[in-house]
Amino acid sequence: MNATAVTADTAVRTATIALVGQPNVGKSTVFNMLTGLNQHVGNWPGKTVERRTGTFEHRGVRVDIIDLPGTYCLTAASPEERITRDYIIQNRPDVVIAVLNASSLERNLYLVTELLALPAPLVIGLNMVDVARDEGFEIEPRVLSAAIGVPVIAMTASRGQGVRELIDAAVDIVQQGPSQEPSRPEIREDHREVMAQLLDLVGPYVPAAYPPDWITLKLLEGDEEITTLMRAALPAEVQTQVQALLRRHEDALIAVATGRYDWIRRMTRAALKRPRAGHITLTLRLDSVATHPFGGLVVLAVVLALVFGLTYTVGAPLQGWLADRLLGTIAAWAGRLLAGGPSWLSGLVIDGILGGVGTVLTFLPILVIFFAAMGFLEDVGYMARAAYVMDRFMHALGLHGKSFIPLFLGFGCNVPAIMGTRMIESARGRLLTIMLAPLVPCTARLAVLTVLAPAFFPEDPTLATWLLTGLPLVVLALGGALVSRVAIRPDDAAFIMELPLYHVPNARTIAILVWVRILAFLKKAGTIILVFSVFVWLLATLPHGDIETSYLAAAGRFLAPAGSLMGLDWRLVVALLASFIAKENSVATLGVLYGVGENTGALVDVLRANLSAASGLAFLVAQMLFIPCVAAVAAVRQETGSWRWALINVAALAVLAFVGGVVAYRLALLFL
Amino acid sequence: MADDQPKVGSSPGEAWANDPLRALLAHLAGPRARTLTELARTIGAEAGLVEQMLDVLARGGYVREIELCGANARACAGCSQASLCHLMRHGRVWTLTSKGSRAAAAD
Repeated sequence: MNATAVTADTAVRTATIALVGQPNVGKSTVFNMLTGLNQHVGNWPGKTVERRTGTFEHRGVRVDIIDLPGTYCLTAASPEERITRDYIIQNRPDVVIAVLNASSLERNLYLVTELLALPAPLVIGLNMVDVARDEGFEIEPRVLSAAIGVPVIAMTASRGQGVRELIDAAVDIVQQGPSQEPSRPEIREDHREVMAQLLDLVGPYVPAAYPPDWITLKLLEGDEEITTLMRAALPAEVQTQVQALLRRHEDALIAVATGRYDWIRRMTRAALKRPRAGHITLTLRLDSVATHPFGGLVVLAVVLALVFGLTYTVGAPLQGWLADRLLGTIAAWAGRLLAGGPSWLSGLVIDGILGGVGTVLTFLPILVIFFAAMGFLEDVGYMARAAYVMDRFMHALGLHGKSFIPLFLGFGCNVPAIMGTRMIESARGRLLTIMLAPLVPCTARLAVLTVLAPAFFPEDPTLATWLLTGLPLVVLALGGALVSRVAIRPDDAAFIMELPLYHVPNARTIAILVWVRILAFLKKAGTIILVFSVFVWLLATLPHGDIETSYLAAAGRFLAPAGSLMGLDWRLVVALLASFIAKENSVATLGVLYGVGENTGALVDVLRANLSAASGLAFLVAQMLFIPCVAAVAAVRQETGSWRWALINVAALAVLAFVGGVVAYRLALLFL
Repeated sequence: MADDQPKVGSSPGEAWANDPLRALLAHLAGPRARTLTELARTIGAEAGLVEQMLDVLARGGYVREIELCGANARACAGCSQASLCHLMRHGRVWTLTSKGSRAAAAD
């Protein structure tokens, strides 16, 4: 002990106090208030963890105080945890002050259950009582103190309330000597005999600084650091007995933790009154609708409709302006500039590059609005709810638990969705999820849909986009239900989700989300789409410079019979196939094949003038169900370990897209 | 739904008094996803404590925290937008391991 001999109130002149607590409980506020400028900040030896020490005087006692790193418990899982427990064991401070968040008392008390097993008197600072009160919790510090057997001081450190009383309680212990006999948690009853046996075995060999009870608990918990320490300290014969005992009781961690939870329940039974049933936070109120099995799906559908509606209302006029004015002006300017040059050069620049990649780039405003709307939903905390609601929907159709997380990733890009199936342990469940993942509409596929829907459905592009986004998801759910019942039965394991609190969205965060996604899109436009646009233009120009007699037309006409069943001419068939390289290539290909650069008109206008709504619908349905891009197919090959499954996947999706296109075309002819 | 009910401690107080960790495992063995808040209400503990219980179960190898998205997540390797993951508010997700499934089935 650092304190000198104790005889009366004022006999002690120096003392060491350690501040312990979870992150963000106000521990540093207490430290700063006590030490003011008398503090020193450095690093713990050999660690990158900050070490804050300071001094102050209270009632004639000079106190050295140390702010230990924030930690949730005292395992050896992180440097913060190891530093905290090693400091208390090795340095034996005169008092440990545990600062707890009163609004999360039960969780914070778990750390107390671990501190009570260490050799240092404890004082509890119950901080943020004002927040707890606002949230409807009623806490009786005196009742809690009587139950645990250590001083408990209510505080609101941010206003300086209770800090003096906290230090009074700590200095009382320093001056009067440690005489605490607190209530300590015990291991679950069915493991007490095991713990006694283990203590008998290891007790005589525990290094001097360590409490034998604590060492025994840590061995039962499977603490790697303590296991290594005792392996070095125990004779071989005892070590063998200890290992055999621990192997027989490998579930002891559960018994230790359960004992702690039981202690928390008993300590808070009388001291903590939870919020009344009527006290519902805003998050809970919103979630009662947003995560409702049926209401949540309605909310999701409405949210998506709003996103598409906003995208078209704000983005479409800007896109039209870019296509008509900017792209048209650039094409006219390029035509004048290249007028004296070879015809192939103006064709390449105007029809190939401007018609292809230029057309894709005019859709930037639509993508910016779309990405901003999705970024808003992510930042406000809604997307996690959407995932949860969709899981329930898929569960109702037979798709289970673990499949949903990778599928959810597919909304960004199908490749991480396919790679993400590694988290599924069952081989069959994994295979099923891999086969279904390409049906999740990725950002690129959604972008193509968002861009082309106004061409075929000028009256209501929002409704068309909304329905076409839902189509592959419904097919996915139905297909999953069918395949899981007939061929591949997945495992049933579900998951637990933490739903983040709703919060006011941050404009900067949303701006970063939009910027990075737009940058990725521009990168793709400047590489894959640019090269592909030139390639398509070459095939559409050679050998005679006439598109109708070109190699591409010949290849397209070969496939035209299949396309005609869907109402697609050879240009649309080629555009659909082009999406195999990258989804946006569909737009670029249509731009080249319909001579957008030459016509100096918007692609949507050109398509509207050349194609019927029935053909347009069939094209979009086929596009939404078509095989994924080449990167996703490669991922399927890699994750299934065979070309066989990758080819089955490609064939199945090609057939699905064809059948979907034919059905959509025939129905559209009847009803549109 | 009857098949979703845990085998240990169906009422909040009972679940906690009996064995909250086993109750959690029983819930995870069910087929339907659950939220922390929902589980906390079922067990009768605060959501933060249930999160802590899941961390204990993860330490024992009974559950596994899933890396949804992030620079270190395997699923995001090579994704051009991986740098955005720290901005996305997905929340934490846990799922049962084989060891956890065996423990849940043994109850």
